[in-house]
Amino acid sequence: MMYRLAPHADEWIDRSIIVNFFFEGKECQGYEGDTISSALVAAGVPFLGRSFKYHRPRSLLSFSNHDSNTLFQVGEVPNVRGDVTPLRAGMRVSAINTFGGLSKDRARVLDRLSSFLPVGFYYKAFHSKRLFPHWERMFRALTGLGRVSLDAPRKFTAKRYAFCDVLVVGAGASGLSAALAAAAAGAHVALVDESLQGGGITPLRTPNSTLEALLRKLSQSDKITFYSATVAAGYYADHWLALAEPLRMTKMRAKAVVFATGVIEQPAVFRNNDLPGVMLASAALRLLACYRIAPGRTIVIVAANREAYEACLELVANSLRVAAILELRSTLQHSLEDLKLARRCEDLGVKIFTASAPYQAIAASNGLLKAVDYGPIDSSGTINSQAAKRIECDSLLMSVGWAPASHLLAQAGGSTVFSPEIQQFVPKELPAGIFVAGRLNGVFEFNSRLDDGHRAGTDAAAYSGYGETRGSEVTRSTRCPSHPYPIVEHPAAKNFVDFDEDIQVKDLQNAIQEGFDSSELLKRYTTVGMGPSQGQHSNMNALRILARARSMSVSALGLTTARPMYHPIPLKLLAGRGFHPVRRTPVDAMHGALGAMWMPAGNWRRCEYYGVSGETRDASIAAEVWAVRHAVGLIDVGTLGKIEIHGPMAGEFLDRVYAGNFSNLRVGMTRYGLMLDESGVIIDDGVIARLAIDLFYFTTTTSGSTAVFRELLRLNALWGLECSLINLTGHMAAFNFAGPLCRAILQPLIDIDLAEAEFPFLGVREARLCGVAARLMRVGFVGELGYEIHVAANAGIVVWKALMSAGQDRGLRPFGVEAQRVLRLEKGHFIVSQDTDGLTDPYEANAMWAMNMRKPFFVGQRSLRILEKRGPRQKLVGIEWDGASHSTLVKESHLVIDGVNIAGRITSALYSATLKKWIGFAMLNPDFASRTESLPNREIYIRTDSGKMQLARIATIPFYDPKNSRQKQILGG
Amino acid sequence: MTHDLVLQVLDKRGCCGFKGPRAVEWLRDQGLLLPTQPNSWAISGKNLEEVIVARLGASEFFIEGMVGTEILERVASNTVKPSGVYPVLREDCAFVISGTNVDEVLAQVCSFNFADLALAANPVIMTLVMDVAVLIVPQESSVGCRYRVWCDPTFARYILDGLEPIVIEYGGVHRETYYE
Repeated sequence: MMYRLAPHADEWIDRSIIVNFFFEGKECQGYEGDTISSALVAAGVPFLGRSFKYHRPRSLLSFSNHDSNTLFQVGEVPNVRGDVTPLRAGMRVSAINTFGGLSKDRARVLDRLSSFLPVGFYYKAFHSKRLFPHWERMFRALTGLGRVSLDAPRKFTAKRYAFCDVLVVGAGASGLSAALAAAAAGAHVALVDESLQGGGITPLRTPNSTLEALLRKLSQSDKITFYSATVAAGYYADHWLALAEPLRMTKMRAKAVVFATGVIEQPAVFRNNDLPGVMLASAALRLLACYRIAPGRTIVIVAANREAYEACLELVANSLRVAAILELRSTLQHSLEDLKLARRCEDLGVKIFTASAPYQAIAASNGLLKAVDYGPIDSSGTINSQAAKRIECDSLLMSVGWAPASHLLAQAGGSTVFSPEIQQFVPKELPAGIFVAGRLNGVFEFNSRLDDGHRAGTDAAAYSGYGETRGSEVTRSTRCPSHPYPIVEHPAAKNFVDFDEDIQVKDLQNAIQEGFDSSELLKRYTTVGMGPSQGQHSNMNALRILARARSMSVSALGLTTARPMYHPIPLKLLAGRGFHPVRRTPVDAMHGALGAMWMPAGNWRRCEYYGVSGETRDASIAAEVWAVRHAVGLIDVGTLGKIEIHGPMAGEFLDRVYAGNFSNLRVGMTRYGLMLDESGVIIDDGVIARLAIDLFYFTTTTSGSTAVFRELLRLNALWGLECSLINLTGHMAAFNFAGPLCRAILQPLIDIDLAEAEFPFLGVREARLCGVAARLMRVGFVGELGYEIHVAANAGIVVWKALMSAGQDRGLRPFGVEAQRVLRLEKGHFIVSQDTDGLTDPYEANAMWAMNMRKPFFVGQRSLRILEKRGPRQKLVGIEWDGASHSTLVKESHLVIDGVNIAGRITSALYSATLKKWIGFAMLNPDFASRTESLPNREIYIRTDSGKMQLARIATIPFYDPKNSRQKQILGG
Repeated sequence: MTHDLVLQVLDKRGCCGFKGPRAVEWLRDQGLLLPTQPNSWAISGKNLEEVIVARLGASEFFIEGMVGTEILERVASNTVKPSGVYPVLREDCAFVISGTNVDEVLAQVCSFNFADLALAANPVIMTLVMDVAVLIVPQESSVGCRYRVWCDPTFARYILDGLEPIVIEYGGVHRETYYE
């Protein structure tokens, strides 16, 4: 049982401030400066959590931000990492993954059923189609960590950008040294560490004076910004790193990066190595040094490196009893330093058993560790269980090796190679601007780490333009700090490799036998390394098991890929403040007052229709359509892309980007244009108006405006024609004023003659409308007499109000996007990207009339010649069927069925009150389309949501006013 | 309570733009002092007749001044422009953000490193704020750096609504429009 020791000057806690909090509903006490985990274990709480699969009781393992045993629900926040989260007064903390609470967890029965839950159980369970729903329900009920409260208020955390010359990740000895060296060279440095304070993972007493001096220098430096409690969670291109701070995400762009991320202590694998009381030695040292917590009253250390003896001496120096050291290695003779340390331990009364390994940890009736059985192991690592002996202990510390925290280095493109001498992957090749220091570099001794950090920091500063490079070689450790196989088999298993997912040695061995015998396959099949710690404690041991099973070297197998974010971080940091641009037209404010019902269109907000009290949506839309057909309507089309092109070669440019001819367009006239991409696919359309011999003004689709302008700029730069493009999309308001009465209403407001002879169909005029400069185009998208009016944005409201006012006694009604869709569909106009898709060419859309294939060149022309030979793969046709307006069975994307085959899909379907029938577009298989068109009834069947088939006919378009006499104002037409 | 972190929309300011191969020559003929380098700005005129001229490229300019400023009115309304001078309609929304923590506010909405700017060179920055293209002119002021920002007016509401809570979070205010 862990307990708090007497105060010490260096402890991180303030004992004068007692912090009251609740754990599993019971009141507990800790101190200011405690983390949740340290406060709980100091308060004598025996278990902190339950394991994921078997619901075994668990307590601290690593105490280092990677521990799945110490994830907590804190109020409404799930999966809070207790090892690093500061304790706060009033916190309501509970264990996750329990049914009925931590102590009475009903799912603990699963531990006894573990033999029925073999590796790959999930996959195998889902094999049976019949039982699939059963397993799905069960897994959904049993799995998942933490509880998400849907009622929790949304908190907008910040995402911010930051910049530095040198970013140092890791504030241990080498990281501190690197940061200070870079700062001394004049660089602005950002230093990041996941701990609350700098100093590294094992703040041993001996070198503390040096560390303290470094930390003092750090606090005094105005060149270094220290991000504590911050995880550098991902590396992205060009030295861009995601820093997950407690309450915000910083996207740090550095000129150079030093990875001093160190190493992560690895557990020994033996039966019951997960009992509360068994932990990593580094965890015990941190508890002791920072929080003055003793790991137990009788301690045994499982050792395979020098750090174990240093830990022993540290514990004894703090008056703790270390009963024994179980040394996995057969001899310490090869290292004089190790031998000296061992002798010092023995002199202090600690028994050392060389060539010995823990066979199994023994639990007391309360579930806590009470003893360890150990036995001799031979050179192959096989334990002689017959010779096992028992030592009573309540704390079993593991100090058998380390794994490099090389995830960020790998993401940055650094390669590693396995060093058998130190049993660790070490950097092999580093990308430009990336530097590595300390234990990650295979440099283990304290003074060497300081020197290595200084080297890396100096070189990183030089890379970013400060000072000279040191250029010295890395001096790696000559001793081996990690055991090559700290894994002990046991017939009763429960020797855990992965504590997150309860994966035992036999699980990995079975998976390998089943053929999942590469590191990536093994990971996916067994889920090793896929839990909350992301394999920090398990990947290396799993790799060793795989290597042994396949009689291969670890280096031949290689590590799995650690993609960003390599460390789980709260989703709130990723969500942050969302920036989703929304554009409002210059007359947006007018629509709200008129009852606009909004809809998104690209990144614009547009009025779908104007709601009228007592009127249904359909009735409002029908009334808006009626107004345009019989009186006059006004729609805001300010969302259209609006572009000017100036210059003597403007016509030539348009001839190249549009499929039609524009250099021969007369001044004062407009022409429809279709834009294709290189493959001949329709990407946009619009109306091109010629205002002067060297000036054109043209529109693009709402959703395509930004992309089209960008592409035109690219083409202009590419071709180098003497012309210049100006994007006026946001700077001009635009309306379509349409209907039989529009000319009469407009005439008094404008200073030009609107008579047919003066301003014919497809004409464009510049005039003063309501006293402001305006451009008017006689276009007929809705199929009636109409004027598209463009004015400067700040004049938009004046003009809108004037038109509304002038038309109010003549039946004018503003109309929205939905009415416009009906009107254009009645006229048989397709909408690019609704009725066409990312593969539709002009042949398929019946739009060859807009092509001028005789031109020497336009974008997509060459592809069209090829497509003509190939023939269409689909065909856009008009369709119609009878039915009441409310019988909305057919929707866009419904399938057209030919017998048992799919013959096409619906792209538009709306009810036309004008025509008293349903009309639409369908994209059909061309053979089916031509076969059906030859039949007298031209019938097709459309499958609706319910499965019911709707009978429809292929129709001739346009549906309305086929001679275009209304929009052209042909008398008697 | 005084707030030195302030977000304010600039009112009564007019702007226009010109581009084209003869724009430099023509604008000089109109008496404007032009920045020599692209992506920099200069002041033309004095006191109330001051206009900011931002050079956006080799032959592209943005001009802003108080509505009614003689030179602004003259260049904007001059209908006789030689070929090779193309007027650009600019209806930008202009606002200023300044004061303590202004860089922290901008750090949340923009990936540009403002700390690296050499203000003496009068830089003009064309970047994205909250994913929207903007034009920024940083200016020195008594409360540190002050940023004049112009954006497409159709994004104005979105940007101001997005900036406001961040400004408030840092102890600032979003004031009513003003003119200078």
